[in-house]
Amino acid sequence: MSDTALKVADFKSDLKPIWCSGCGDFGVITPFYQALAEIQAVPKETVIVSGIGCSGRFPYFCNTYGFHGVHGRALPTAAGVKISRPDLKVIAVGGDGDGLGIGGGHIAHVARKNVDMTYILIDNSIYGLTKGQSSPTSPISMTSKTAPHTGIEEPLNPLLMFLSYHASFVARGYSGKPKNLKQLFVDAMNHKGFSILHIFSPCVSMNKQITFKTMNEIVKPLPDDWDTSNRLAAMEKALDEDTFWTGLVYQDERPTINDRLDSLEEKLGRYDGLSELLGQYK
Amino acid sequence: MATQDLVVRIGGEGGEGVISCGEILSKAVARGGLNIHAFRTFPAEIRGGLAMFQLRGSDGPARSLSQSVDVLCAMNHCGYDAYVHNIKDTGVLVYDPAFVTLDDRLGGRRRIELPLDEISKEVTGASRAKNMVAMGAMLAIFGPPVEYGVKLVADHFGKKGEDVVRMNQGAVEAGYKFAMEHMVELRRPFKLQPGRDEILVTGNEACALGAIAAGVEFVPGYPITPATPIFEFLCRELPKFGGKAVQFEDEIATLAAGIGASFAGKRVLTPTSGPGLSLMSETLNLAAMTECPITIINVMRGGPSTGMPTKTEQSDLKFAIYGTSGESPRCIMAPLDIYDCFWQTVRGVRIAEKYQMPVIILTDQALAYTSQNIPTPDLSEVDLGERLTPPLDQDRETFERYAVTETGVSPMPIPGVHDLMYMATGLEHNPKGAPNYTPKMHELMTQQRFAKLKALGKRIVHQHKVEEYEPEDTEIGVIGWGSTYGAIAEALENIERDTGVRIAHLHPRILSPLPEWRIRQFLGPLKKLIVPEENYTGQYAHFLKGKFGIKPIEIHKAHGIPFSSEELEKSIKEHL
Repeated sequence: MSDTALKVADFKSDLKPIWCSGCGDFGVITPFYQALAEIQAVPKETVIVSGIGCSGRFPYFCNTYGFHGVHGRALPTAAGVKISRPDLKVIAVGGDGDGLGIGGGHIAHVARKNVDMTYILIDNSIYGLTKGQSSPTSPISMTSKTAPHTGIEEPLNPLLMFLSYHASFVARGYSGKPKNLKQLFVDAMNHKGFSILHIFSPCVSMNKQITFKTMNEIVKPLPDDWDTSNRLAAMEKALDEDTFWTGLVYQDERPTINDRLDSLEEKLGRYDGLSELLGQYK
Repeated sequence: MATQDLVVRIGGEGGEGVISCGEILSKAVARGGLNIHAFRTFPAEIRGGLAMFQLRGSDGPARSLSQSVDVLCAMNHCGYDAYVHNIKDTGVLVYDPAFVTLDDRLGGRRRIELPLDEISKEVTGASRAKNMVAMGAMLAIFGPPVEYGVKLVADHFGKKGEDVVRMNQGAVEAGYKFAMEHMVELRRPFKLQPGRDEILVTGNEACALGAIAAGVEFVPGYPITPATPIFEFLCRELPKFGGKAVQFEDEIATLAAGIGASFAGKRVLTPTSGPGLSLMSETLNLAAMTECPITIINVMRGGPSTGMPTKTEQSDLKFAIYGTSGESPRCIMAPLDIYDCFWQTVRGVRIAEKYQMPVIILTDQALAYTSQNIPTPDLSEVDLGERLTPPLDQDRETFERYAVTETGVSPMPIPGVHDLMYMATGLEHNPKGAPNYTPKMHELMTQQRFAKLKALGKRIVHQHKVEEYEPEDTEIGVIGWGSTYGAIAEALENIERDTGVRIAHLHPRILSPLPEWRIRQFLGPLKKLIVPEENYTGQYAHFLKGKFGIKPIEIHKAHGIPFSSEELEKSIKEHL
């Protein structure tokens, strides 16, 4: 690397992360900084958009442009940035409540548009910032402040959803294995199209049921020779209830919405100013 | 010389070509040199149900719809049945005797048989062209030569081949000829002025053209009646100006995407209607809080809830001004006619950019679907206005994205352009953009955000020229807003003509912030203020009451159809 190359520290903002001590999110942001350095992201050309929740604070800690929006809307906000400014690198970050609860309807549509950006969904199966309510991925056996007696809803299977939405890059990671995460971030940000990373990140303060200890027992990397083009096989892995498979699960390359908009623009040609269009109404 | 005026309504069933007849007729009459005001209603169903097209032509200004008509052209009994009571006492029923059964509701009004079906079959061998027969007959009444209609039929049916064109042209000519033989006494001595540099557009089209003139680059949208035509127009045309119009999954995503694009430096506009605006209210606050410029055209429809999507109402005003959690600044505007739809859209986008806040432009279904011929906008008059951005060599250490300024506006860096990476956040923040919840900071930043409304309010004081009428010796005034302008202006003219009573009229285009100084000046000599609105509760009247402590006489209409000048004249007279 040349002397002018940006280092990991160049991507950290002056603000130190304020998450609880031992929070899984530290295991997400550290490899994220490393990945930004590895791909030599340009800070002024990088926009990180987040929603509400502990993970919503993510962009504050990065030396890039940041947008901390309203609950559940990180994805469409980020899509607006990217579609209108395809020259920028865009990353959306959010938690399981933000991305799968209140904002759960947006993922399918960004996948359909294949917006060329990365979505980091940091899942802890609990609402941590508001101190312990059930989330869309809380197991039915889990009690919480809003399920004080017993869980009454079944959890979502995010990986299976993203595969069925046909996102063009689907990966799963675990903040207890930050080294593996770095490569996933690099691959996701280099992918042309919508890349989604589902990362399990234990909440040490509020989630006493799913912990680093329980996760360590079920996390297993996909085999080295995993075929990332086989969507059906990927769905089988997603349906595996005993093992939390991590790695790049599925990837394909197809036109992004900006590719399609660009070719449309080219096909249609340009008006010679607004007067030409006004002329059609004379 | 007194101006001549003629109101024709064509009534029939959906699928009979009532609307295309009306559209071609409008264009022919406008090109033929009259000022027109055309309004249509659609049946709720795609096919079947009642369809109506009303065309008012005048050699003076044709500023409003008319409630009663000079000529009702009933294509069948359904059109007769629904509208016979709207014919003026001096008016005429023109009808197809094969499909209309007259009854005593017609009273002593004149009637003229126009065998549409028979003529169509005779000329073309089928009934299908009877709408073009009607078109030709009505064109004859308005006065322009038949060639205007013949030419437009060629344009309209050109894609369907020469045979279809010739058949329909034959129908138009036959209708025209029949009218010249049997209805010549209906013709008015219009002073035709063909050859003017004009465009014929609906309110929705004028808004969409205004958006393009305003340099809008990104239009996220979600279809909603009656705003959909604006979005469809921009989906079709914006790419040909290098812009992008993209459909999103709902109005929440739509406005969020718009804010993202605005943050990224683009000029953004989105069209919607009341229910969509409701969904946008949280993200609207986000735009205000992060100080991202964005323009929303809200085409009002009959509410609440799903309400009456294809009907008009002025009932989103309070929601537009106040509909938010917490308090955040936004500018609310209302174009007063079709020409104004173009210019207020240009102005709205400019205000959004200059003040870095949301602008909501309130039009309504009536304005959206009315068409008028208007002077072709002089594009050299378009003032785009610029967003304030920092210098490229701005030092990052000392830079404050939300610096406290007198106007509330501070320089906004653009990603990819400025080396001034910052956080835009919906959380309360300090001038640097870092979250801060201290009482002092919340007060300071709230003041800072609202300083924009104050600054804007000062600037709009002198910008009400066209719509003012302030005779010196009057003690009565009317304040209206939005699409009621034409009906109010006509009603006041008629009252003055009939009774000699002069009534002042103010019609602000920017409703909030209120041009306070200007309104105080207007209120000064008045003993009575009348505020007519197309809603049930008197929303603007309440707003004025709250700001100025006055007690206006309120006139409300919440029928889903616009005020006519006749009914306004009647209700205003009751308060003289």
